[in-house]
Amino acid sequence: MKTMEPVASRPPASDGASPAGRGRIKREDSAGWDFVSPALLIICVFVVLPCIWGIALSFTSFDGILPARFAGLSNYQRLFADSLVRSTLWNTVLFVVLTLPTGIVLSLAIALALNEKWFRCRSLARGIYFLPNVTSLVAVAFVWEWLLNPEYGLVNAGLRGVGLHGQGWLSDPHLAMPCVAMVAVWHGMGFSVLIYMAGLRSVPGEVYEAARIDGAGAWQQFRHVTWPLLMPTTMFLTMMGVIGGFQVFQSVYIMTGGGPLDRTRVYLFYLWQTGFQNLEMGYASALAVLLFGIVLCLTLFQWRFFNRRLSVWQ
Amino acid sequence: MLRALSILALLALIVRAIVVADRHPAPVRPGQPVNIEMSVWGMPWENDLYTKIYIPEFERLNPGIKVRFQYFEDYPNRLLLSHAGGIAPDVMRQNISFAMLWLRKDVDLPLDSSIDGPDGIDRKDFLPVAWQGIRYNGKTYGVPQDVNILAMYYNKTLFDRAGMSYPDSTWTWADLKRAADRLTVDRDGDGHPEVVGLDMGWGGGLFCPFLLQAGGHFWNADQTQTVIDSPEAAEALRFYKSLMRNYTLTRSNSVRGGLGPDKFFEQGKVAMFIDGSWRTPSLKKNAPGLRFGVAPLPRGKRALSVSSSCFWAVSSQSKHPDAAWKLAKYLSSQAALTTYWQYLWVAPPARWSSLRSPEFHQVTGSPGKIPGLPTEAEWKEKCSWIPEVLEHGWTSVEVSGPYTSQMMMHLNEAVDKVLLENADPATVLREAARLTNDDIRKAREAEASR
Repeated sequence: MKTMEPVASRPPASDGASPAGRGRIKREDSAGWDFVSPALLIICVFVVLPCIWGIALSFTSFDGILPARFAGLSNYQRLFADSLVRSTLWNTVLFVVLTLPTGIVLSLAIALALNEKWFRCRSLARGIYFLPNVTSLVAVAFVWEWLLNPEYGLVNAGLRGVGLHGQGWLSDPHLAMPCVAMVAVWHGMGFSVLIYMAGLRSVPGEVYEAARIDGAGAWQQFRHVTWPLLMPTTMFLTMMGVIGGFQVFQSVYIMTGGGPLDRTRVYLFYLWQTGFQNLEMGYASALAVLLFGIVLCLTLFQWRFFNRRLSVWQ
Repeated sequence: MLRALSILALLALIVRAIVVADRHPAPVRPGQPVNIEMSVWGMPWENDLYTKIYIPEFERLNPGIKVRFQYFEDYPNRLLLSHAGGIAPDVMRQNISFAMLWLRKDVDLPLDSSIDGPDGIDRKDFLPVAWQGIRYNGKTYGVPQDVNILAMYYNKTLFDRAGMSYPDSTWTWADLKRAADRLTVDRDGDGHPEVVGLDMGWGGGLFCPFLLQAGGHFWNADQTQTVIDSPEAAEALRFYKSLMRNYTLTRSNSVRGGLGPDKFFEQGKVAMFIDGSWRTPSLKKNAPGLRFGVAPLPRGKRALSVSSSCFWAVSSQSKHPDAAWKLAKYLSSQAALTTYWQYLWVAPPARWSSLRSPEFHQVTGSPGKIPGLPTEAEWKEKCSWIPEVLEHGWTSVEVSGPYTSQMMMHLNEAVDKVLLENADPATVLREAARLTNDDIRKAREAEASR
């Protein structure tokens, strides 16, 4: 029977490799390139090139129809003077602030509950929490719009049933954004719960056992064992949450159309209006580049922030 | 690495070859039919009209031309992308609400030489309002198909119960308000009326006819500045607010989805609502037992409604403009427009000869899909307002301009501020006009730099 060669006895991967070994690696590299090249082509054509093209368009006055003309930095000058950029960015930040911590806390709480031994029907509960996530956000937004309808919606009917006044959930300027955020949290929570559950499974039982021997209670176990060891998971979910939050569009488009009083007009909605309704593709591209820059900076900041935390705990 | 790059280059060449082949079809040989494409949007069942009636008939009349039918969702964006890709359909159904900006950018072919040529059409047979949205710089960019008009729908049973006469073209704003008041019923006084007198999607869109009725306008003469800050517009907004404060189910256009005023109307919870002519067939289909009629919008200082118009355009990229013109001409012929009305009855045809023909009273619908109007009495209660409005010229396409999108964005916000925050109409309209004109200035600067 053929046995695996011990790692120590293998020749070094690169330094000091024989010419024959280098040749084999090159052949393997070449075969690897063969396999990935169709995927690379698709990524290049549909992701990389459009991104580069989008950046190039941001320096033009392209309208989607006539040929693009170089416009220098005028789109960027306009961008920094545009009050709608500021207000829509503020609305987007508000959306992220409302959705991210709520989503993280709720999904962690649910994952912790589902991870307990006493919890019955775990698979069923996991399926129920994940169901909204596999449902189209468009359909979800429509359903919530009906539920929140001021006259015939179930939410107000329930409130009236217990003697409370119903609200104009999506027509009240103060309630519209929290409602849109609530739907986003509900829709995305199943995914976060699953990721947290996977994270919880990877925490070794011996660590909890050691903590218990040291006299740690449930809260201390969570604070000193679970939370630090789930930090990579939290980092992933936070980063994805920020990136996704800055790209919110569908739920706003369907549920509020950016209203009332522009309180839910988020950045991407404004970008879409600029590009596809006003036919100012050059300016819309500049808006997209700014969004890219903001998300990149925030992601790098989070990366450094979490890595510092991780290194402290490790 | 070199091999990988070679493979990538080869694949890129293949993709390019496919794209180029699609952009440049093989030249037509003598005796071969010319293939052209046409595109539409609308409800899926409308496609039968094109695929089962129009296209077979057109191909029979023009044996040398074959038509490929395209139905697009997200229509304006799809057409824009097709144009950008050089593959726009030869003949496109367009609406002035989104095409006004395109006319200035050569998306469509000017058709004056075809319209006025030996194989042309009689311009005078079309409603003047239908031409207004498709002309720019002295050129005509399409042939009209229909004219949509906003009108008032009313529940006859609720009017009978209140002992009130039905709305008609003599109604004024005061009549509208009085009727809305009398028809609103809150039996238990809990602030949630069982029947609402008047409901609308409260936003900038439905405010537009009120602005026109008050004597206001949307644009200056050359459509380069908005004038929605006029005293007439402020007066209209004050009246609009007075309607919303007292009679409403949905306080803002933000509450949309499948529960618009039409749904409440179908359930008999709303006595009157304002919507386009296209709503009538679906109301009859969804609520067959509902007794309802349709009337022109009540008049303010003047009687005026808001319209948009669909038309047939020929793409400036068409490889077969002559064949495309033949199809556009056929699709706007009297026979085709009469069939269009009898079959779909969503919007009146743009030709006087169709509108004034006896067939205009014979609405058959599409069996199993769209109900018809079996009696003259029912036609009268649901459709007689249409010729009345059009013959008197009580409708306008003025709101549709090249910068309508910018204006509506700010007008919606202004209307919201008045309805939801009790802001002063004159102040918010002044601000909306300032912001719109600022946006237009920027857009025009960008256009000028091209």
